Amino acid sequence: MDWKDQLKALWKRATWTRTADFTLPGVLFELQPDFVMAARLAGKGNGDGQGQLGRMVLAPLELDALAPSPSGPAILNKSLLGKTLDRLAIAAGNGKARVGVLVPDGVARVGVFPFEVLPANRREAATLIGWRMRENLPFGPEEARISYQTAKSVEVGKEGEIEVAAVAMRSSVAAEFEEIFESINRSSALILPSTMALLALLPREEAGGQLLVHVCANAATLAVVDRQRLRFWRTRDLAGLAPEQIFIQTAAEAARVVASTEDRLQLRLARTWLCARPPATESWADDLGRTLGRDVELLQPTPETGSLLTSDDRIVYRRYGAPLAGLIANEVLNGRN
Amino acid sequence: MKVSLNLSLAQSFRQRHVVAWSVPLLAVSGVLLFRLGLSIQGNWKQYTAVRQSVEREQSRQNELVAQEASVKSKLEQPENRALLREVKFVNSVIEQRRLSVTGLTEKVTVLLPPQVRLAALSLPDSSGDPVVHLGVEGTGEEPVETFLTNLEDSPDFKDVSLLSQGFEQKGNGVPVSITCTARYVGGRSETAEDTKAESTDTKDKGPAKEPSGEAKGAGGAPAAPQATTSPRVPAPQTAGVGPMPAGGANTPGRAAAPRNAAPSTVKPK
Repeated sequence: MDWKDQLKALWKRATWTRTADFTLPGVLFELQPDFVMAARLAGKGNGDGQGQLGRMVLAPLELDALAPSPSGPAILNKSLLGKTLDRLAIAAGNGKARVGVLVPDGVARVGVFPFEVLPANRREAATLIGWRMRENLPFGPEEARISYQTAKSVEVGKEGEIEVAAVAMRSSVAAEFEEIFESINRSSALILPSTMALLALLPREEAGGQLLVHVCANAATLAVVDRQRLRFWRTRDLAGLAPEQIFIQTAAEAARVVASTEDRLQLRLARTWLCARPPATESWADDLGRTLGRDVELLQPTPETGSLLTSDDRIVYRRYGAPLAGLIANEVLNGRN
Repeated sequence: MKVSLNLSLAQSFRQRHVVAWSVPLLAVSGVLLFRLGLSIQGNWKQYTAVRQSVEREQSRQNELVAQEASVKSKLEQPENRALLREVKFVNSVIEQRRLSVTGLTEKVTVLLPPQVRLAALSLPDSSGDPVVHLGVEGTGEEPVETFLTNLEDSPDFKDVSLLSQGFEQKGNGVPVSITCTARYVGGRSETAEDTKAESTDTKDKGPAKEPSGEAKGAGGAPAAPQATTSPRVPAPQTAGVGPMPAGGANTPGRAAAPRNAAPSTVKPK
C-alpha cells in the first residue's frame, strides 16, 4: 500500500460517519426505473392524522433516467429526474426539507449473517459485516455504506448467536441519491430499498416463515422472514424481458427459494405474499400459486393509511403505495417497541 | 417485521446543532460587527485629525522654509552683507571680552622700560572693563614717567590715573615707586585686525566707509595707531558711547560693545 492509499484510508477513517437509525420524515419519495412517487404524511409533526397519507402523486419516468446498478452510476439523467422530483414535491404540497427515499432494490445488496460475537463499536461492526459481505458486493467493502440490525438466534443449538441483517450500498451511489435531492433543496433522512419497507406489512405473529415476492420495474426481489427475522433475500434483474417472461422467471425463482428455504434453512414457509407493482395481470397471484403449488396472497397497502387520500390518489395508492404504507407501519412498530 | 435499517448518514453534532447555534452566533457576530464599525469610525476620525495636523505642520514648515529662503536671499544682497559682517564682528568682540591674566601681565610687561619693574598687579573687579591696580618701581623718575606714557598710549589700557608716588631710599637702590590704576580693554586691537580684511571689501562697496568717518569725528581723539585700524565700526554704534576721557584710546572694541551689556551673541535679523 503506497502513501496515497494510506492517506486515503486515514481520511476515510477520520471522516467515517455511521448510518442513521430508522426515521420517518414527513415526505416520502420512491424512485424506480419507470416511475417516481411522492407522498406527504398528514399531520406529521403535530400528531394529528399521524400514520396516514395526506397526498400522493406519481409520475412516469423515462427508462434511461435511472439504472438500478449496485456499482453505479444509478442516476443517468440528473436533470430530468431532478425536475420530476421537484414537480412531485410541489404537487405533494409539503415544503419540509427532510424526506425519506425508497430506492430500487437493485442498487443495494442485502445479506443475513450469523455472528458469535459482534463488536460493540459500530465502526468495527460495520467493517466486520462489510468483510463478511465482500463476496456479495460488486465493489470493495471499504466503499460500502452499511446499515444493519441484529436479532438473537432462536434456532435450537444456536442460542446466543447473533443474526445480522445488513443492507449495503455503494457510497457513491448513495451520494447520487442524496445529491439529487439536495438539488431540489431537500435532504434525504431515510434511504431504504423499497422491498425492505414492505417487510413491515407482513403479519407479525405467524408460525413458520413467510415468503415475499416483490416484482417492480423489471426486477424481482424475494425475501423470507421468520418470526420477525430476515432469513433470505435475493434480487433478480429482469430488465428487457416481456411480462410473460418476467412472470415465468419470477415463478421459477420463487420455486427455487421455497425449495432452498425448506431444504437448507429447515424452514417451512407458511404464507407466500406477492406484491406486483403494477400487477401485469389480475390473476398473477393465482398463477403464481398454481406454479408454486401453494396459496399466494396479494400484499396490499392498509386501507387505513390511505383513508385521507382522494379517490384518484387512492387508486395510485392501491397499485403502487404498498412500500410507503410499509414505512408508516414500520414507524408504528418502532414506536410500539 | 420491524425494520430499523437506514442507509442515510447520521447527522453529525454540528449538523444537529447548526440551526440552534446559528442565532446566537449571528447575534454575537452582529455585535462584533457593530463594535468594529464604531472602532473604524473612531479610527477614521483620529486619522483625519492627525492628517490635518500633519498638513498644518507641513504648511508651516513650508512657510518657514520660504521665510528662511527670503531671509537668506536678503542677506545675500550687498547692503545686508555689511550688516552680517558687523554682527559677526560684534559677536567676536563679545567673545573676546573674556579676561586673561596671563595676557594682561604680558601686556603690562611690554610697557615696562628696562629701569622699571612691576612690583604689584591686582585686579579687584573683573566684570565689564576691569580696573587694574599697578605698582611699579623705577630707578628714577624718568623711566617711571616713560612707563606711564606707554600705559596711556597703550590700546589695551585707558583711564590711567595715578594714585600715589613716592621717593624712598631703599636698600636695593630703588628711589621711585608709584601706584596707579587703569581700565583694561585688552584684545581689541586683534579683533580690529581680524575684521580689517572684511572692512576692506565693505569699504570698496561703500556702506562701511561711512561708519569709519563718523568714528573719527565722534571720538575726536588723536589718531592712535589702533584707532586708525577700526574704521569699520558703524557710526551709530560709536556715537552711542559717552565722551572719551582725555588721552583714552578710542578702540573699536570699546565702541562696538556696550560697556554694561552682557556678553551675549548678537544675531542678525
